[in-house]
Amino acid sequence: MVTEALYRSDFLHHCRTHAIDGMLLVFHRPSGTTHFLASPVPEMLELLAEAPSDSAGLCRRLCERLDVPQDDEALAVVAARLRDLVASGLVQAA
Amino acid sequence: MHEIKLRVGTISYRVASPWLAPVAALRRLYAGYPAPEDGIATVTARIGPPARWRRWIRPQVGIEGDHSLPDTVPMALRHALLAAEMAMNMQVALGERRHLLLHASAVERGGKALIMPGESGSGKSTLAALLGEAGWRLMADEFVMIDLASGMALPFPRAISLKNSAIAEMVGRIADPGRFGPQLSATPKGELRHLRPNADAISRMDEPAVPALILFPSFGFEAASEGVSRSELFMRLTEGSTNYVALGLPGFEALLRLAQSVPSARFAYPDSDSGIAIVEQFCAEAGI
Amino acid sequence: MRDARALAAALADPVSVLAFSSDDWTSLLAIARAERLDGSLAFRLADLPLPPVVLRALEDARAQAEFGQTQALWEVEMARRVLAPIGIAPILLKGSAFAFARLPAGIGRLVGDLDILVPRDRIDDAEAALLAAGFEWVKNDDYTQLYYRRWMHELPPLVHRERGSMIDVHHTILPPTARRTPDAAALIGDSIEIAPSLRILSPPDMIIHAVAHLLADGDLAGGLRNLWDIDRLLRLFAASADFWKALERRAALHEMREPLGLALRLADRIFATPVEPRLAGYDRMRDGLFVRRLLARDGWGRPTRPINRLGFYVRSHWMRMPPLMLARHLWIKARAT
Repeated sequence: MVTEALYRSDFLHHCRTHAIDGMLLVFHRPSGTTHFLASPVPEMLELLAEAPSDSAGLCRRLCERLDVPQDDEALAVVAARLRDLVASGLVQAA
Repeated sequence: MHEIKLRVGTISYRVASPWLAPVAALRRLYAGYPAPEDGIATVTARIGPPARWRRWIRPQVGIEGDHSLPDTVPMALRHALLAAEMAMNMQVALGERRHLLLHASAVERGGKALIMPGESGSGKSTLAALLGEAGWRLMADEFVMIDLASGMALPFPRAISLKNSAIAEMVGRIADPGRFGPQLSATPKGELRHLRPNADAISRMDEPAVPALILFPSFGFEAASEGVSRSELFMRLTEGSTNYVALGLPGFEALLRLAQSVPSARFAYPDSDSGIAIVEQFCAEAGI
Repeated sequence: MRDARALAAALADPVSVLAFSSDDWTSLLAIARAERLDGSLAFRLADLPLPPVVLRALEDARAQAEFGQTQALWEVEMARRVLAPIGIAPILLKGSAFAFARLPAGIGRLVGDLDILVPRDRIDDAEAALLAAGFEWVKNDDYTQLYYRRWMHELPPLVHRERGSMIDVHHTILPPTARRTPDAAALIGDSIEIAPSLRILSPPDMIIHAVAHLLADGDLAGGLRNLWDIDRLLRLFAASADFWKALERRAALHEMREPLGLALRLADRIFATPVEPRLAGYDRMRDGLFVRRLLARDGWGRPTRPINRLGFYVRSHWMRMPPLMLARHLWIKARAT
């Protein structure tokens, strides 16, 4: 059985955030980068800050929180956004 | 080396050149500008030959100074004044760290600033020049500085770059030919002529203003306009700032404050008169 | 100002600026920026009563240095995230090491690329991991790749696709073709863990590396800044009792005794750095040439003394490669452009 990679985020400690026009503006202090995040990315970050997850686990928690069906499309979206978040440094391997 | 020292707003410049003519041209263009603060120039802009022999043989003018970019293409000696202006811009664009820089023109009326961000060709410089002769005070044509603590707009009234058709327009409206620099032909930006801001703009270069309206102009299209949302304004302002990233969190806070509190719109206009009319209409609505 | 002597004096002895005229200030700032020492200067002059306009100019420099430090530390963190999972604890070099370890040499220092040292037998793994993490080759032609891998002490430079930052991955501190061969395994063996999966060189090795970087790996362009690093490091490390002995031992081990002596003499002459006289050795006539080269900057910030500089450019290449190899390298480079 393949062990899925676990991800975590200390987003809340390191970021100054501001909600604007339904999106989240984020200033990430360690990298000095500014991000504009649209749903479901802010929710994903909150969940990972609460507790680490692998991609599938995160998808399950996210779909619960947003009250949306947990299907293949949701899994693909979460996996893709997770890759973006790792690349940007907002999320790292636990 | 020949040099000129002058102050423009918060920037105390020394501009140096191995050729005399560009420095003489700068002296004429910036007649009436104050000396550097405390007599100390803290920013050096230079023009110079990229190779020693290029000073004399088919001379080329490179843009240099405290800060420089490796890929700038050297210019012909007859365009040295333009190169000097670009060198002066480059020092601010690359070196300014105490104020948030917006790539925009700005004019002031009643203590309130109208800020017009845009790239070359958007018409921001020409509109500012026209407004500056029609009851507004010119604050800047290229860079507007935003104080990080107070959010106020600070003047940076350099000589205005007029391009192509804008030259004739302004020559027609301004009685004093001494305010114009030489006509530069076939520059990388086309026909170009510099215009010194009027005496009012120069004497009030230390007077800040409250940002009250941000308008994004697009010259050369049928008249049209629409509002700009706060999120779009934030994004477009970061794109137009050369030092936003380098300022870190204070830059973020200052830009956010602007995006939250200043109304913004974009507009297109076919000619100067309709451009000015649209601007005045927006200003009336914004209470400027 | 005709050269950078006043800058060196201002750094070494900040109160010397209190006598400056307006023109002196303008020149000092231009020279400091050209030598990329304006951040360091700003911190050195921080507590002095200076004209307000100068204080504000130095604020710009401090802010730039701080931003640079944030970026440098972030690059260290992102490199750690890539290399730690495959069991590589990179040794941070130069500016990034000073910043991360909060050494005085790092205060106000403008950091460029991230330089790291990894064991030679892990360099392929490091390369693969970095490429997978979004880095790409700055130059991907066959000749550059071959040249670096066979003759140099580092991978060809890598740049991050999105962040635009560069990383240089070294396996030793001087090219294998150089006349001197530092002991890479010893560098790694004596390195210090500064954080989980991050290391720095031991203090004597850090000096040796700074000396190698100053003298044996370049044409002294930007040399004044490297010498300032050495001054700052020496003043800190010399506080421990055994430091000079340890430095002498490591210099012998890495075959860097002569360059170290030269560096110590130059630091003494230019920054009045306290150095151990036996290790520094007697002044040589050639030392003067190095001093002139290091200070070759005029009051407008332009590099001066072109003949002197050309001599150092040729010298630096000769030190990396024996003359026959140098000719072949230059020939191929000329054909390619």
